[in-house]
Amino acid sequence: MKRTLARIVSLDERSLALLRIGLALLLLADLAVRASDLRAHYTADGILSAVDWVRLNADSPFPVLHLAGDAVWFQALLFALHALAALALLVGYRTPSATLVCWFLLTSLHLRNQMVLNGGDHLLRSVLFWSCFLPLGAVWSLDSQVPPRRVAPPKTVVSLAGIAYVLQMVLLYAATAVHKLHPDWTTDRTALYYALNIDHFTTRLGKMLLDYPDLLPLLTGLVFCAEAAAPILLLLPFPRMRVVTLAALAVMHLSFGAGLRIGIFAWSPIVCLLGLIPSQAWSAWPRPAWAQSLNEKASRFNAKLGRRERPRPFQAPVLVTAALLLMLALNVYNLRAPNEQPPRPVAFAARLLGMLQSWNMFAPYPPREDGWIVVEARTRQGDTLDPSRNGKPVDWTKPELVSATYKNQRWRRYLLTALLPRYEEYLRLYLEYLVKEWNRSHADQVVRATLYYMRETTLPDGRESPPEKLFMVEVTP
Amino acid sequence: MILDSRSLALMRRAVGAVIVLDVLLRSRDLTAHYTDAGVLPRTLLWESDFWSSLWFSLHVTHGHALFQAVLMALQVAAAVALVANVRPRIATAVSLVLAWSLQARNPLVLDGGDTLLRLVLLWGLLLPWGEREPRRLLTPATVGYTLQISVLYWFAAAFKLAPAWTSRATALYSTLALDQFVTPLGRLLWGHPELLQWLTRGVVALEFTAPLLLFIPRLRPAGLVLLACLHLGSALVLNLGLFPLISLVALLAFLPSRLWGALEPPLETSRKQWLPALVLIALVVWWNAGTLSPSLRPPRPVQAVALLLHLEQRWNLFAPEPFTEEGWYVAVGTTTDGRQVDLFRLQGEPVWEKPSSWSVFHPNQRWRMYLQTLERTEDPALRTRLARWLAARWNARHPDRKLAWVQLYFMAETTLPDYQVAPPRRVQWVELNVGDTSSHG
Repeated sequence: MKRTLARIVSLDERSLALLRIGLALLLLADLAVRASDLRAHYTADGILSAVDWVRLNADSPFPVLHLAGDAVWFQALLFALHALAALALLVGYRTPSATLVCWFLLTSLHLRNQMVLNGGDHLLRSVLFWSCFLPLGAVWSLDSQVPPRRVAPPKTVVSLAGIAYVLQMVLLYAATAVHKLHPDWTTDRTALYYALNIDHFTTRLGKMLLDYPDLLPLLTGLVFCAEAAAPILLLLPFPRMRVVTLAALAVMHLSFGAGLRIGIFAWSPIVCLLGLIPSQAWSAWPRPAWAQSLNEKASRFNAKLGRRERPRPFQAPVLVTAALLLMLALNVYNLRAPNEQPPRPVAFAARLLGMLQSWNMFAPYPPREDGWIVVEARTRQGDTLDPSRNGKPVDWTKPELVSATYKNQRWRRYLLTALLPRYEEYLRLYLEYLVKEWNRSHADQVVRATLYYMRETTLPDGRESPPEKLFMVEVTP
Repeated sequence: MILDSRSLALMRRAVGAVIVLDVLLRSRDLTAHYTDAGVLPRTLLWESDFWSSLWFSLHVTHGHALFQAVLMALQVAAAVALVANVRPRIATAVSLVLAWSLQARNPLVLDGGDTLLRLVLLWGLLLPWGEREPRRLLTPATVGYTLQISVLYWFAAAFKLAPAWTSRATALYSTLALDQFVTPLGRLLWGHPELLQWLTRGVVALEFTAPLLLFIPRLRPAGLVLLACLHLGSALVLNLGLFPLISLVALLAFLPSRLWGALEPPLETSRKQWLPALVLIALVVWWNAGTLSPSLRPPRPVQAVALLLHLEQRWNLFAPEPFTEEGWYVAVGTTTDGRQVDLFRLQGEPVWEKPSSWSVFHPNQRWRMYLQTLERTEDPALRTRLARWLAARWNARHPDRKLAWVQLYFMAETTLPDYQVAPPRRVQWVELNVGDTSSHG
C-alpha cells in the first residue's frame, strides 16, 4: 500500500528538470508578450495607472513590487530582472532562489494588472510556488555539476511539496469537470458549439470546425470525459497509463489552442504536466552523446565561478502543509459557490500566498452572448473615426474574424472582463487610454469618444440573432 | 581630500545610528504620515507636485500601517548592519533604497537633514567606508565627497548674498523671531541686535571659508571646529530636528589621522570608480547651480537622472530672506449638536490667542515641516486633507459627538523690524462639511 502510494506521488528528477526548463521558457515567452504592452498595461501612461489601481483595488497582503514605480524605466527594470531569473531557472543556476524570485515577481506582476490574467496564469503561478520546494535543479542543470560530481543515477523523490504539486494538477481537471456538470456538457453536448461561436476566441480553424455540426457533440463528450477521467488516471499507479494520459491531455490542450485564441492557457497546462512524466518513460531513451560534453562545460563554468555548494530546495514543511490545506480549501469553496468569495481568513491567506484559483472556463456552460467593440470618436474638426482601429472610419459591420481584432490574449482578457457590468470603470479607463494615445500623436484632437458593444446571441442550430448596438461608456476629455 | 579609513568607519557607524534614531522618531507618526488613513494618502501624493513620476518607492505599494512598520523594521535592520559593519556594501545599498523610498512616500515632512542623509548614503556606496585596515585613502570618491560637502556650504552661502545677510544683516533677527523654531536660548540671543548683526555676517563668512580649510591638511582641524560650531550653535538657538546632527555626522569623515593614534597609516591611492564619482559631483553642482539661477538649470534628461538618484536639493536655508511671516493654526470643529470644539487640543472651545507652546500643532520636526509645506504651497487639496484628518481623529475619539463642519484657520503674524509687533491676520484655509461622510479612512 505504502509503495503504491509512493509510486503515485513520487516525481522523477529528470521530469522535474524538464518541468524547470518548460517553466523557464514559458515565463520568458510570457514576459516577451507582456513586454510588448509594457507601457499600456503596467505604467502611469497606460490604461491602469497606480493611482487608478489604488482607487479600484483593496490593498493586497502580498507586496506588489510592480506598484512601487509607475514609470516605464522601473517596469522595464523589473521585467529585465524577471527575465534574468527565468534564464537562471532555465540553466538551473541557483535553482531554488531563481524559482523563488520568478514566483515572487510573477505574483507581483499578476497583481499589478489582474484584468489581463486567465487560468493559465493562475496555474503557472501555483506550480512555480510548489517548485520552490522541489528539486528542479537535481539534474540537467548547472547546480547538478557543482563538485563533487554525483555518480548515482537520477532518482525519484517523494516530498510534501511533490504531493501538493500532483494534487494541484489533479484538482485542475477534477474541478474543471465538476464545474462542467451541466446539460451543455453532459447530455445535450452543445458546449463546443457555443464555445466556438464566441467570436472573441475562435480561430479560423475553430470556425471551420463549426461546419461539421455532427462532430461537435462527439468532441464535447470527449473533452468532458477526458477532463473527468484525467484525475483518476493520473492517480492510478500504472506508469504506462500515465504516459498515455499525459499525451492525451497535451493533445487536448493543443487542440484548444488551435481552435481558440486563449494565449498562455494553451501552453501553461502542458508545461505544468511535464513534472508528472513517470521514470519508466525516461528509461526508454538512451543518454545522448552530447550530454557528457555539456556536463563538462557546466562543471568548468561552476569552477570558474568558484561554486562549492549545491543549492537545495527550500525546506518549509509548515508553510507547505498550510499552503496545501489552503489549496484544497480554496477548491472546495470554489466548487460549492463559484461566484462567491471564500470566508475572510481563507481569502486573506490565499491572497497572502498569491494562491487564488478557480478553474471554470466555459463552465458550467459557455456564454451565449458575444460580439465586438466599436469606438466612435469625434474630433475637433468634426471628423468621426475609430481610435481602436488606428483611426479608420467607424465601421459597424462585423469584422471578418473578431478574434483577430485583439492584439493579443492580454488585451482580449482585459476587454472581455471590462465588458462585464461590475468592471465598467475599467472600460472607461480603456476608452480614456485610447483617446489619450490618439491625442498624443495627432493634431486633430478627439473631443468625444463613445464605446459600443455590438452584441450577438448565439442561437441553436447555427443561427445567430442580429447584433444589438449597446452603448457602453462615453468620455469627453 | 585624503580621508582616514577609521574616520570613514566612524561616519558609517554614526550614519547607521542616525538612521535608527530617525526611523524611531518617524514611527511615532506612522499612521498619520505614511498611510492612506493619514494626512497624505497615496492618491493625493501621486497627484501632488511633490511626487516625480520617475520615482519609485516601496512604501507606496501598500496603504496600511502594518506594511510601513515592516519596511521601517527592515530599515532599522540595515542601519544596524551599517553600525556593526556587517556586509557594509549591501547594508549601504539597502539603507539608501529604503531612505529614498521612505522619503518619497512623504516629501512634505522632509528637511535639509534628509537631503544630506541620502547624499551621504549615496557617496557611501562609492566610499570605502567598510574598510577594516587603517589607511589614509585618496580615491575619486574621497575627493568627490570632500567636494560634495564643501559645495553644500558654498551654495548655502551663495544664497545668502542678499541684503538680509550682508548689508542689512537682519537675517538672524528675523530667523530668531520665528516662534516655531526658536529655543529659549535663541530667545535670549534675540534680545541683542548688535550681536545678531555680527553673527549674521559671521555665518556667511564661515560658510564660504571653512570648507576651503577642509582641502588644506594642516588647517583641516580648524575648518572642522568652525563648521561644528556653526551646527552646534544653530542647534542651541533653533529647533531644527536632526539636521544639525546629520550635518555633524557628515563631517566625521574629515577627522584627521592624528586623532586615531600617533602613527600615520600608509597612504593608499586608487583611480577606480572615477567615472561615477565625477558624474555624481557634476550632477550635484549642476543641479545646485540651477537652484541659484534658472538660466543655469540642467536640461530635462540631466534633471531626470538627478531626480532618479534623488539628488534634488536646495540649500536656501533662511535665505536669501528668512520668512517674515509665520503663524499658528486654529481648527474649529462644529459638532452635529452645534457646539464648537478645538480640533488641535481635542478639548474645550477653540483657542484663538497665540499659544505659549507650539507643540500643540507640531509635536515634532516632521509635523513642523509638514505644516510649513502647507503654508508655502497653498495647495487646497493638501489643506483639505488635513482638515479631514483632524475631523476623523476627533470623531474616532468622540463617537458620541460627531462633527458636522470643520474650519481650518491660519493666524498669520508678520515679523516687523526693531521688535515691533503686528496684530495677527486670520486666514481661512479650509471650510468643510464633514457631516454626511461618516468615515474618511
